[in-house]
Amino acid sequence: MKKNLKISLLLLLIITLVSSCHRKQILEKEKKTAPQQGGSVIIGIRTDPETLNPLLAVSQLSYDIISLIFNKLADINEDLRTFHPRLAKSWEFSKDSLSIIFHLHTNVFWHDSVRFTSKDVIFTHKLQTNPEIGWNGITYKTYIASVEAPDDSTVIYHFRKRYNTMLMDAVEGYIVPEHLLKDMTPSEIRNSKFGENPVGTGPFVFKRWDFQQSITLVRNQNYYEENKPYLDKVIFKILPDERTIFNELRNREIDMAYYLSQGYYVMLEKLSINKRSHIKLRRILGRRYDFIGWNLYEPDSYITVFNENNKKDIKKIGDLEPHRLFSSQRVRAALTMAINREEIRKVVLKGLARAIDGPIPPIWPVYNDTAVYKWEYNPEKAKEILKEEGWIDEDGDNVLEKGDLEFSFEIYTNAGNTNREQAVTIIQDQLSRIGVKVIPKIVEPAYLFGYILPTRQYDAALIGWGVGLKVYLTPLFHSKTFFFPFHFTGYFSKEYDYLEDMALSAMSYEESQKYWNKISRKLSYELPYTWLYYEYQCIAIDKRYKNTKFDVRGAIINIEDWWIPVGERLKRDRF
Amino acid sequence: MVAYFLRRLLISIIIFFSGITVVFFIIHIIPGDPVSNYVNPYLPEEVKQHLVETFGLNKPLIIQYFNWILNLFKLDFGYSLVYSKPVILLIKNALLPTIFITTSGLVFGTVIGCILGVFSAVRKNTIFDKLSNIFVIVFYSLPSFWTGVLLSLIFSYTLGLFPSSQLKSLYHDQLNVLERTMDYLYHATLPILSLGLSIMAVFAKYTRESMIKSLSSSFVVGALGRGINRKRILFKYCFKNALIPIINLIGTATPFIIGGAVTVEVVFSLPGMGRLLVSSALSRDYPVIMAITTIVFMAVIMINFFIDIILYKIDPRVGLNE
Repeated sequence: MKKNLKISLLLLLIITLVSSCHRKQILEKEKKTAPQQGGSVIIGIRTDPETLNPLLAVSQLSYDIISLIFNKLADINEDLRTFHPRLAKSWEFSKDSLSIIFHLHTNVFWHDSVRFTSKDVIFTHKLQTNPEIGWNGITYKTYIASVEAPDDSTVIYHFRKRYNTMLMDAVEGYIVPEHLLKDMTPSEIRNSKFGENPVGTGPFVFKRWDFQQSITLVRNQNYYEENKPYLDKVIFKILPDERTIFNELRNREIDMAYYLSQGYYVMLEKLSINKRSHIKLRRILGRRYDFIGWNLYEPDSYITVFNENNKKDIKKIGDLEPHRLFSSQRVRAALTMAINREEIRKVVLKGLARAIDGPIPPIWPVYNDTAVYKWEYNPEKAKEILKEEGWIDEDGDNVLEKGDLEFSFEIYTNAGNTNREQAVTIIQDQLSRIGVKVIPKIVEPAYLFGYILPTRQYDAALIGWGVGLKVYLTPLFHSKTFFFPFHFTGYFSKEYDYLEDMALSAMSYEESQKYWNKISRKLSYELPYTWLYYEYQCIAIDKRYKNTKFDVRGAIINIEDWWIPVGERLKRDRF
Repeated sequence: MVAYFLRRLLISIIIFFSGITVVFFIIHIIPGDPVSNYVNPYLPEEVKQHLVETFGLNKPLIIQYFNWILNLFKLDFGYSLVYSKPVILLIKNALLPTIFITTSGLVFGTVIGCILGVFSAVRKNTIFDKLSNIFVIVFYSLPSFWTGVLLSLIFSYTLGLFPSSQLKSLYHDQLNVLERTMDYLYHATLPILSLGLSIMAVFAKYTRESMIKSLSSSFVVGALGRGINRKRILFKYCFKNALIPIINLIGTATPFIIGGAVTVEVVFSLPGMGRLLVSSALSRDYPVIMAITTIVFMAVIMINFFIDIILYKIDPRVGLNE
């Protein structure tokens, strides 16, 4: 009995020891996986942002940095339909669904320690909707009738009508401090020092901007979310030469680059395969797509009608002369079928892009691959269509003719974008195989976007658009923007107008999807554009960062959650 | 002397104003406006129009020109269309690094180039001369940006001896004065070498040729015959004689040196005027382009003006052709 007791006690002791050891291991593991404060991240960027004032910023880079210094009322989720709280801790719709009531956090302070209140939201809305400011997101606020603040922690947005993106429209835009900007006129705000010395409510506080060198942000000690952010510093290091970014990533002089070109991304990929690399590579659906826009009217006739038509009356569209080549949908289809987009994607973009066929980019929630009309690569069929359209090579010079007219046109693209310059050359070669003569014109961007396209003095143009998160195509295809610069193909369809109006005013996402599907089908069949490819955004980041998240919203969307285990910190993390 | 000075000054002023006027009209006459460059398709047309008015781009070109000239006398270069801040601030930040890099590069290149040229000429056709010729030809044919890429590849990425970018460390403000100076020098070494080696090659080549010509001239042969000290002949007569084309070269080479500095600034991510000019030109930031062009014009004309005066001092015969 006594012996049994001894054995039992011994067993108990062993179990206790083993379990305590195991517990210690678990605790240590937990400690390792629990976020730890400290450290920094150095992000390589190519240029200075134009400003850090959220009201005046235009580039994605500026918005990226601004997103760390400022906050919105709510931030969009990965589905691009729902939102999570930021400055507003909650919200609800009014009974008539024409208003949204936001309840604000009461423990938020501006970086200069002044308390954030609803007055800041009202003030920001006034500036955002003032054309003299020229805020880039002004169209988000089109249907907002008024904004009121019953008390310091409540804001109510009243809308003119009900539609499915009301919440997105209300929360769009970073809130700026009333106490620092209220005494300035719009032009004073434009030229004020606020843009280079911003004060926000975000997780990081602006510290210094060494022009053409670096921008330093430091941890907001009073951030309303407890313990966050974990990193002490975020430094944006400005390196205009991408070769330098590549080398500094390799040498661990910077920790991250998130607008890498496809060429350098592939080089980093090769390095990662060959040896143990400290770099983690990710690609996400980016925000850019490239396409060829076909001018649907003769350039000279557009200039005449545009100059004589003071009120820009769309009834005058009837006076326009259809383009000698591209007014025929069958011709546009033939050209689309003769362009091997897969080849361009592989050669120019190293496979780091997706072929697209219609106007809805893959990041938008209403993207539906089955809705679009797909024009497969088929040069033989393209030749047949052109023959049926009367284009025949009668003189044997390998260029098609119709009467006195030769199938020859100029295609413009902007200088400085090597991908597009290469793509134009490949397209020139591909179309020459079906008897179409293409003359590439590579011109300065301001000349192309400021003159050639708005005045429609072109035949075809290979360019690209950056995509916002809101589903909205009006400036590109709706007849109410027909005479606007970016509606440069001259696409006009009353049916399209109806479909987009219905899609934008639908009360539910499901209902709007129906109309977006029809729009996808219609535009991909009628082809005012030949859609080419949608680029991936290429990201390289040091493996030591934990909790990183990259999705369609961007590469630094959750930087306040990033952390570095103590054991993996570098010497420079202490500075 | 005074008449020569005034004549040169007047010519410089005329050249300066003609130059900046031509540049102003060229960059403004090209169709397309800078606003379109960074306005997105989703911005309403009236907002764009408002921006055009805010920047004064809707006014007749001649009015824009006279406004610009009037402001120039007040040293007001206007506001940057891209960065929404006074151009003078952008210039202020960018001017010093460029002056530092170009001056250091020029001093390094001129001194080393002249020494190499003199020694090559004196030891003509020796192994030293042949090796030095190869060395000079290599850097004479390499553009400075390519020299920069090679230097950064060797000394920065392979050997890790120098930083590959920027003019100071990210933790520069935490250093003391001595450490800060060392930090600047450490960062500036490769850019100065990139620019300096190209300048050195040009000066070495011209000094050698000039010295050889001087050494074979009859006055040198005569002086040697009279038994005058060889060193004295070399430096007092030959080098002084060879100096005129070399000093002239500084004036002629200034625009190319500035051009070289632009590319070196991009390769090494330096915060200078060249880099600012490149980014402004791409975004059609008229006020910044004009400001930098004016300053560069002014610098080139002033350098040439002073060189003319120095040359006149060395050899007053240069004024006789006027």
